[in-house]
Amino acid sequence: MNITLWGTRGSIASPGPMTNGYGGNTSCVEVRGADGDLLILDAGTGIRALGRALTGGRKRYDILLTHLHMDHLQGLGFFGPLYNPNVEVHIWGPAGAREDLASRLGRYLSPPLFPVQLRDFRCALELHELPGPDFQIGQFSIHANLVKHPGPTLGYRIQNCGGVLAYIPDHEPILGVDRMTDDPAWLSGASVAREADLLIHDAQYSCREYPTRVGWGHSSVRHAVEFAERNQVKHLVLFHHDPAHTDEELDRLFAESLNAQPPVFPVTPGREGATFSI
Amino acid sequence: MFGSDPNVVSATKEIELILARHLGENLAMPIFLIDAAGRIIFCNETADRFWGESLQGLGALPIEEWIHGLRARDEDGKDSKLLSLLQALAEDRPSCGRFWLNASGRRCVEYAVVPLQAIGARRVGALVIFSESNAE
Repeated sequence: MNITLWGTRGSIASPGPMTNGYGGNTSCVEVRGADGDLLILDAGTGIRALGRALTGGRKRYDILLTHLHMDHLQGLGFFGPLYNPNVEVHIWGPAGAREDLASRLGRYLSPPLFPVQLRDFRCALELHELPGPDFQIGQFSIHANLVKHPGPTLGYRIQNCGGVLAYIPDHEPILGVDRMTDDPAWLSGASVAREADLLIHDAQYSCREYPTRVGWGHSSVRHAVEFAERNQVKHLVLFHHDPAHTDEELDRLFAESLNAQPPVFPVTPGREGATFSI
Repeated sequence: MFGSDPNVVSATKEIELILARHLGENLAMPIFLIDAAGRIIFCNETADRFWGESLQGLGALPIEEWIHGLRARDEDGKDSKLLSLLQALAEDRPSCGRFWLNASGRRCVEYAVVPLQAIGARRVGALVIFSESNAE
């Protein structure tokens, strides 16, 4: 499995010279299976460039949305294949309590927020609501489960050829507790992240920032490391960087957080364009 | 850190139960968290104090069995199996009521059942909240 980060930023896109290093686009990750199968995780602003980079006569695209906050959705209308009548696009994501996935997506994809509506896409569009039973897309086996974040929000566990990728870009497992539990039955996200080869996880805040942002649905870098430890993850990628953090500040934040208590597994700050192989 | 038994982790509770437990841990009122199968899967510390015993080791005891051990009485002093509480749990609807205990004088306990139904009409369980009543 090959993984490419097309957007690593949280909350809102933050392009500019101060963020070029880690990137200013919001959440989007490309996952390629050993056999060429493709998954796209989230449709933040990073999906626009991904759509332009896709080549070849692919007939099907699968976009797995963790949730419908704007930083995970804003790029969707700019994903080129949606306008191609010769392809199928499958969008997977969480339903709401009162509205189905189509209605919820339509809130953004409709005037006055966006000129193009879901029905205007020329591709064959199919929507799938989650969570549900584990499912298969090509050679990918996928488990989706709700995690702690405001509103219905999914994490994805993706298996391909024996490798496991876990993707939980927005997650606050420490909310409501003094410390993360040792009991996986009671730890949000454990069924997604357990013993993953690579975990891409929310690490939006510093330890100093977190106390003033409790309940906003995000983790500090230390929380991300602790969550990965609890789940015996083999490699952690820090993701969903705060838009207010410049490259320089992120370098300092990661150094302070990781040097204080060095993890026993590799931890890589996510940079736009970075690739990983499992 | 977790052990590596996948069966243990595959039993990760639904997020609604995890959130309800964390709510219960932060409340000063005694609560039980019941899963969709009617088992007591969590009691908060206030519940321990309320019932005068540690309930942490119940180990997913069916609430019906726990009620059986209570020897609860109804208003007339007759045996009560708290059928209205059990029925509310089974039917996923809110309910409240009261019962009496004779073990240490005549003590009246009120309860409220708060069903937890997730998006997509998924049954995940219920909260049962207890309180002391002044009723004779």
